[in-house]
Amino acid sequence: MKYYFLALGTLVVVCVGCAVDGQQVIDKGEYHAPPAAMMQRPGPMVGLPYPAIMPPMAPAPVPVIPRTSQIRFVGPEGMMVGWQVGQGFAENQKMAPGRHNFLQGATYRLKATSIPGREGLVLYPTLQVYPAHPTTDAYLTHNSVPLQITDEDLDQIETNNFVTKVIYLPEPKFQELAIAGVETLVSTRLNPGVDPVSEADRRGTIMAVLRIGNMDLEMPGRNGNINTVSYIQADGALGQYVEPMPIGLAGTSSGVPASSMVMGGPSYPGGAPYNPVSGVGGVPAWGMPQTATPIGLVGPPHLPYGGPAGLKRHIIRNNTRVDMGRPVDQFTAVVRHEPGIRMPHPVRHMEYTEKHPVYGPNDLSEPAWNVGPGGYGPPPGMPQR
Amino acid sequence: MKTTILLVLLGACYILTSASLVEAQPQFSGQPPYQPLNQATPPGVAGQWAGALGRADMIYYQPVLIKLPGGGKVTVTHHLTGQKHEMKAPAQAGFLVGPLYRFRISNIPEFPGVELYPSIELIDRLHPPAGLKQKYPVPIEITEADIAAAMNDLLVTKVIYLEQPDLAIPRAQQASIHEERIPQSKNLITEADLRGRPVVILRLGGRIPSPVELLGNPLNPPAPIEINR
Repeated sequence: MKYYFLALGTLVVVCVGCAVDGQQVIDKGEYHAPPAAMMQRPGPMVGLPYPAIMPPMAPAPVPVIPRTSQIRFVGPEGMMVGWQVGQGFAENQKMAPGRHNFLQGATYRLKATSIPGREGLVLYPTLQVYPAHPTTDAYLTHNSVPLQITDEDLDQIETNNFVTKVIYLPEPKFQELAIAGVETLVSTRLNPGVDPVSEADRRGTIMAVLRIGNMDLEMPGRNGNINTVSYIQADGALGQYVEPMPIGLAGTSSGVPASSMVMGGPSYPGGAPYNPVSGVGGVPAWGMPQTATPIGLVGPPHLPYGGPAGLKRHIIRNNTRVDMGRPVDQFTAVVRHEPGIRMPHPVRHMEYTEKHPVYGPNDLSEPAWNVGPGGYGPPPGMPQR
Repeated sequence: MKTTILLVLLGACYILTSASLVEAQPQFSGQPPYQPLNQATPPGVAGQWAGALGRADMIYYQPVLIKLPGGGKVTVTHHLTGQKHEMKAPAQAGFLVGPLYRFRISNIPEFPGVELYPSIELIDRLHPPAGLKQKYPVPIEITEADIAAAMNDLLVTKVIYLEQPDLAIPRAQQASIHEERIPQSKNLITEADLRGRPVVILRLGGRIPSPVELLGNPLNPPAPIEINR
């Protein structure tokens, strides 16, 4: 008898286990589309401008403005803004309030001078312009990013504090306002130990980060006894305007590549390329004669010069002990979205009932979504507002 | 007795299984139909999808009437030559379903010196009686509040929909079209879909193209625009 109930209990557990797989215990009926970036592209390394399941019946969306973010220097009014160009600075390029387009995914060194009420104060903030994200694309193509240095910020800087300002677009699902706008996080207003960049990344999508300290980058004699002379390449006061030059990348620390394609490229003369891809960005292609030897040395030339090739064998013995593991012939990556992607199933059956309201003379009827309960429509089953 | 208990338990297992399967495909109970696009979708994607879904007609130019507060001017550019065509508001022009168009609004009496560059993308079209399409354009109204918000670093997104007759407000249309403010936390396209058929997405912000961008004609539309002279 007890074996009978044991078998029966096992059967119940198996049946219920098949039906309840952990996802359907509390079914909220929610759907979860793939992330916005995946909606634009069908997969990694595939940059089609339309979903792969749909044919291109209409022109592909093109960026209406080149991939720049328009930074608007709001204040303090009258402050002159310059930027680093090569080894020197282009000064007085913009006066606040003013705006300039900076290429995305880059870090710039700015130079702020003539700050009203702060005579002699020269600041050298860095400006990180983050790459556009699908959630910020609409905002960045239609709006400028406001950047304001307040009196409080300047007080903090002059008292030897380091100020970080993060301008981000809040997550829409947390916004009760009808119109999308940016917000700014300032490090000095956060609790000690809270990273403003991480905090802004948690609240929304970062568009720009400004870091300001009071370090003088053009102080004479900073290299020992050698007095360096500031090399100013341009001065806006003389009508000389130069585009800013990036001093580094931006936005890559968040783990999101600046482009949909991971590309290799050179770093600096003599240095190793980053993300080396054979044949891309200065990395030698496979099979080129200069990489003829297995340890990267250039092979011997044909001697005598100009004569026919006489060398028949060239041997280099590499006795280095190498333990790099066996080559992987099969690689498995398990990817899981939380929550999982869930879309409505295709429709198998539809019933359509059309209701025509009947009114008498002088009757006035309002839709339910406009007047609330008591109004007519939408049909049963649809949300009532 | 044993057989009866077994049947009851098996029946309970079946009910549990079938109930869960029903829940796996929820019906439209208490929530609107699922809409993968929303107001935060990058500009041009909704139009692209509309084209892919067969709503784009490459020979049908949907007339759009652009209204500005107190007058003003609307400037569109030729998609090949970059030649600018300035029209006095309210201005009417024909646009294709699918592409993302951008135009300039300027000379607005309430905002002297202000030039803004809103964008529109048509995700559907109207079907007026033959020969009357110019008489019934899609109205787009940019209000003073919209322009003021755009100048304050806000992004104004409007979804213009064709109201469903059964759900329309039973009042005569006023000088300005009916407008509702929806929180950012809600899907604007879903809300428009509940009230009718979304036709146009309008986005307005305060970004001004640089002189370099204007010289390079980056605002040229990707497709032609029909202008009635």
